Amino acid sequence: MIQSIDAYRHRIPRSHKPGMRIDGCIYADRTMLEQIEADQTLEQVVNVAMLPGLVGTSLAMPDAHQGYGFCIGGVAASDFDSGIVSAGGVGFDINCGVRLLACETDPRDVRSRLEVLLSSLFRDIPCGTGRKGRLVLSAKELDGVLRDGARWAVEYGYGEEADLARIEDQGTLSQARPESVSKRAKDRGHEQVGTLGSGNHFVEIQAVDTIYDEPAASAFGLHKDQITILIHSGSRGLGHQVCTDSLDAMQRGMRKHGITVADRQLACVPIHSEEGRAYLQAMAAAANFAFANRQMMTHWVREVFDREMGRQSIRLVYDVCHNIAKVEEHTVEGKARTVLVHRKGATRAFPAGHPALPEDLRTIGQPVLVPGSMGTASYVLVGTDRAMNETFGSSCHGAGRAMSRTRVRSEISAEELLSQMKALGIQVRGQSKAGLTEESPQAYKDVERVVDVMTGAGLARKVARLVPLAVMKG
Amino acid sequence: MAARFKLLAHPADIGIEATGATLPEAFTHAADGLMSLIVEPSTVHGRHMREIVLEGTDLEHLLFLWLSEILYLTDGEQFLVRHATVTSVSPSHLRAIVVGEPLDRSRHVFRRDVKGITYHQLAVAQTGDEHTLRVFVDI
Repeated sequence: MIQSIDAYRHRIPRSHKPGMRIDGCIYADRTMLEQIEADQTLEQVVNVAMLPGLVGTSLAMPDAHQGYGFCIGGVAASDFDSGIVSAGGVGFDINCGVRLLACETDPRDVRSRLEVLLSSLFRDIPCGTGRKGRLVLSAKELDGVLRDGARWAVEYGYGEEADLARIEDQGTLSQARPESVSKRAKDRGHEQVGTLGSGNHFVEIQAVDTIYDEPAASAFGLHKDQITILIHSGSRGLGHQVCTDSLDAMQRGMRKHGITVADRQLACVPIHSEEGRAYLQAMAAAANFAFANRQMMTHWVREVFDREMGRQSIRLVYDVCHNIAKVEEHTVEGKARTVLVHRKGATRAFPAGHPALPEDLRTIGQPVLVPGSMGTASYVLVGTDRAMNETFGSSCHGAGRAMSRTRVRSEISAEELLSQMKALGIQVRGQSKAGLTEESPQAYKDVERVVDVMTGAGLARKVARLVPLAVMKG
Repeated sequence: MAARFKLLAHPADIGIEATGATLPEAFTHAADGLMSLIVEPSTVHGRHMREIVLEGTDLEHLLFLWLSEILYLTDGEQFLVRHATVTSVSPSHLRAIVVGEPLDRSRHVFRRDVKGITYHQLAVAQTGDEHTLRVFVDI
């Protein structure tokens, strides 16, 4: 069923299965393709290609693996006038994303104080299951977060005005409507703002190891041997509940609109239906909650570095969403169209010249942040014209899981993992042993190969490689 | 006694397969499976009781609603369920009693966050005298 177009592109033609409305395409090298074929990723790419109103191609990035409904690493766009929106196409952790910070502290000083820094981060940034945030928001304040996102946080003293320019959509999705977010979602969120969460979420102190593209790195404010901090977090229980509520509303909506899908998790409704509009308003509100979250954690990272290392200037390099649906302009089969791009475990990767980029990066392109697994390198890439033409301006979002949580637990213990990390000179603090073990690097694909596919396929260019020094896991 | 639930492998997440001689029993075991993913069950005591009544459109929908409810109690109301007893299930309704206690991080040993209950391959089946439920959760 798969036709290999070149070493990195593998097409599933729409003739493969009755009901497919568009083609599928997987970006992978030969070995990764075999890995992807071992689970249900391809079937999920095919199922997505059957959804009504999709345009272009149903895509899977090289970090793709089986998800639920959509695969993780999946990208699909629907026509904004006549297409659908799917809550499952965004996922539970709405605006799960990554934020990169950079500072000018002497790396030798940071290396010598890693233990203290890690302990302080662990103390100041709430993480783990059931952990309340440092502040409990009133209903009115929570509505402010949901409406204004990172801007709310900056206005409340968390960070600087200059940070906003370096966040996707300046940290605020304007279509957010707090009144479209259920009371249950707000109940889950009002004590969780500014918390990291658990699972694969982390705060990592890193060093810039290699620069591949001097002009781009310099525009991003990155240079060799610099200290960076990477934050991976999302919209917490609030976003999860918005997804849960919407899955339920979309099931009912599908019956009303006469839509059938191959897997109920793919539930979708027309974008301009009552359910579709309500979802996009609530999704945007949850995305704003996640932006505010990462903004507050940034403030606490700055406080920790100021306190432990003396006054520091920590700049925000960039902040990207990797679970989101965005209204964007794209050229599809030679025609300019407005589409709703679902990115589920995929990152926007706009090229130089795109109007959505901050002015000072417009001649360079958008920074694409690709975190590796625990103990492995992370990458900063930059978007290309080819990604704009082929993947709705999208790139991979990380290494991508390769092994189940149940299996990895049977292969390694938390103690073994910690001693492996220690041998690599990486300090690790985690909230739960089970959670830590399940995030072992052996459970993930090799981020180097994932990035090689992205660059080999011309969808992104390497800018910098970051290596971990200390990791705080939720 | 045979295991009441088992965990299923998934490349990124975890599945729960719960069985029971009756449908209410299988639903009860699914809730036990979910809570075992989140917290070390022996650290939770059954000091308070709550009644849950849900309405749905079919058994699959009720399974989604039931486990989403348990998750909401954990994360929204900070109430950890020690044990659930589903007293009745039909395609349109579910009634249950749950016992548990308010979340206390000084005593409860957490394992991982569950973000949501998915419809992915969600199934309610009956073979002979045994009811089997399958559900995958997002970690």
